[in-house]
Amino acid sequence: MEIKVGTVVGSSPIGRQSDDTGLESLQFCEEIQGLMTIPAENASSFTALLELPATQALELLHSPDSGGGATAAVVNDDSVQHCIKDVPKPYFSAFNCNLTFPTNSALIERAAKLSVLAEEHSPETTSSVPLNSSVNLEKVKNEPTTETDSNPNPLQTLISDPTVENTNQRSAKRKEREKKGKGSTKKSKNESNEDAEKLPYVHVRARRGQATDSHSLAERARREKINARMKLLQELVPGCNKISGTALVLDEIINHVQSLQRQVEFLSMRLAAVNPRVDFNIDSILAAENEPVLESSFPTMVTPLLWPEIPVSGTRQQYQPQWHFDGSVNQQAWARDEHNHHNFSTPENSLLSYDSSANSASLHSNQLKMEL
Amino acid sequence: MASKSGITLMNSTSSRLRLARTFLRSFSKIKSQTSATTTLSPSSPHLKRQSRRIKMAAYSSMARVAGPRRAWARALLFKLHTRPTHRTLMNTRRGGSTTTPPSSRSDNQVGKLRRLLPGGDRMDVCTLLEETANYIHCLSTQVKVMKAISDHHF
Repeated sequence: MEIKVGTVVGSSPIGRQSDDTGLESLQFCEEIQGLMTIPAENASSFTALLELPATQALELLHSPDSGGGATAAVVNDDSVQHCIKDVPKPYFSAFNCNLTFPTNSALIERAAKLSVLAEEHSPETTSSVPLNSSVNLEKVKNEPTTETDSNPNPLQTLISDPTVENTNQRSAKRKEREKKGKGSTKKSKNESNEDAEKLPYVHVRARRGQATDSHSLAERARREKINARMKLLQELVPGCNKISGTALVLDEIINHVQSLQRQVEFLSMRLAAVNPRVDFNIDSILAAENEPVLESSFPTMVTPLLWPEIPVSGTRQQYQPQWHFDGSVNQQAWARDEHNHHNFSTPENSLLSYDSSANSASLHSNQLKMEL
Repeated sequence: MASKSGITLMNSTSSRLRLARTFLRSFSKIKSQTSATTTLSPSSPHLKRQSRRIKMAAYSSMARVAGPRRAWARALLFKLHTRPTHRTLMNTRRGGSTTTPPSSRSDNQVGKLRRLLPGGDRMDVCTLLEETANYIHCLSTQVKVMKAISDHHF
């Protein structure tokens, strides 16, 4: 109300001033400041004055607009009128509340506050009013911003550019908040869907003609992953590079796994028939595999595996600092394995009690037999 | 090693060394426990039992080298560990209550692969392929090691 008073009171001198001196916006602003600071001190009298009916105030506002030929006055009145047009009549009381605020700043900021206030108070009506009317109100609210944007007057841009920007930003934020709060209108639903689509859209590319909803995007990502694995498998399985087609490749992989498993079975049969030499070691075995890397890197590994457990555990001790993680696993599984072996070998041990020396001797003889 | 690098396969030389070491240890143990005095005719039950034990040792050493983060290695060790007592029970129970996963029925080859890979009946296709790659790698390494041992002996 104070501002209205300011504008109402100030509008007449502005009119005079514009008649006299023309367009001097800076002076105009200063004068209005001076006009506004004086009533702020005795604001109570102004409230008493301006408890007038709203229609009178509007008339007061409209009168200089109709008569004023000066551009500055018209501009200022326009900006205030936007605010007032937006606000329904019962909210004039809210402007009375505004009087108590200590407002000594420029008129521009006041106008901004007014417009913000007007737009801040209007959502209350939208919340109380059913949705259709609120949509109408939104439309109404949209109008002033577009008008001020499209207004080509340079003076108005000089005066009210920051305010317009502020109001635009704030109103935009408020609208977003409203839409989030409502969540029931179709617009907000559509927008949330678009947001959900935009997020994975960054990561997964959809070429032309491909579906872009989240399910098909995820499915496409999964298929790409599977394809990468299939390529890896193709490289791993010999003779699988030239085959095209997932089914054939899978067939080949299955065959390869089966053949490998059969090979393990066959080799275990063969190793069961073999009698181990006492002096075999890993070095000689691995040397047979065309892998020349090991001698330099693992000099401690050349220790021969003997029958008693002590050297074996000794190599393990040396081995452990290099493979900490594996060592712990090995020990667990080793204990398990020992358990298994004991389960299996109890009948044999009971039947054929032997000691290690006799065993090694007999092994030698057996080995001789086998080699013959 | 293998678990750290994810999809990429483990360092071949170190894994081979570990595999050879582990397998040779258990192999020598098996050989030490069996009597050398018994006659080794190829049809004897003793030889069959020993070959089965060697096979189990090979698989368990493979699984141990592959590490506990591999699903197939875990499943294999579990299977080997609980083999003698619980296997028949589990088989009957599983056949009775739970049905086979739908993909194994619809997609024939993936189902085959599931049956081949230890613990493969509980994986999705992506994991299945990844584990299969690692399994093939380990299995081929194991085969190489076993071949080298047997070549060394003959």
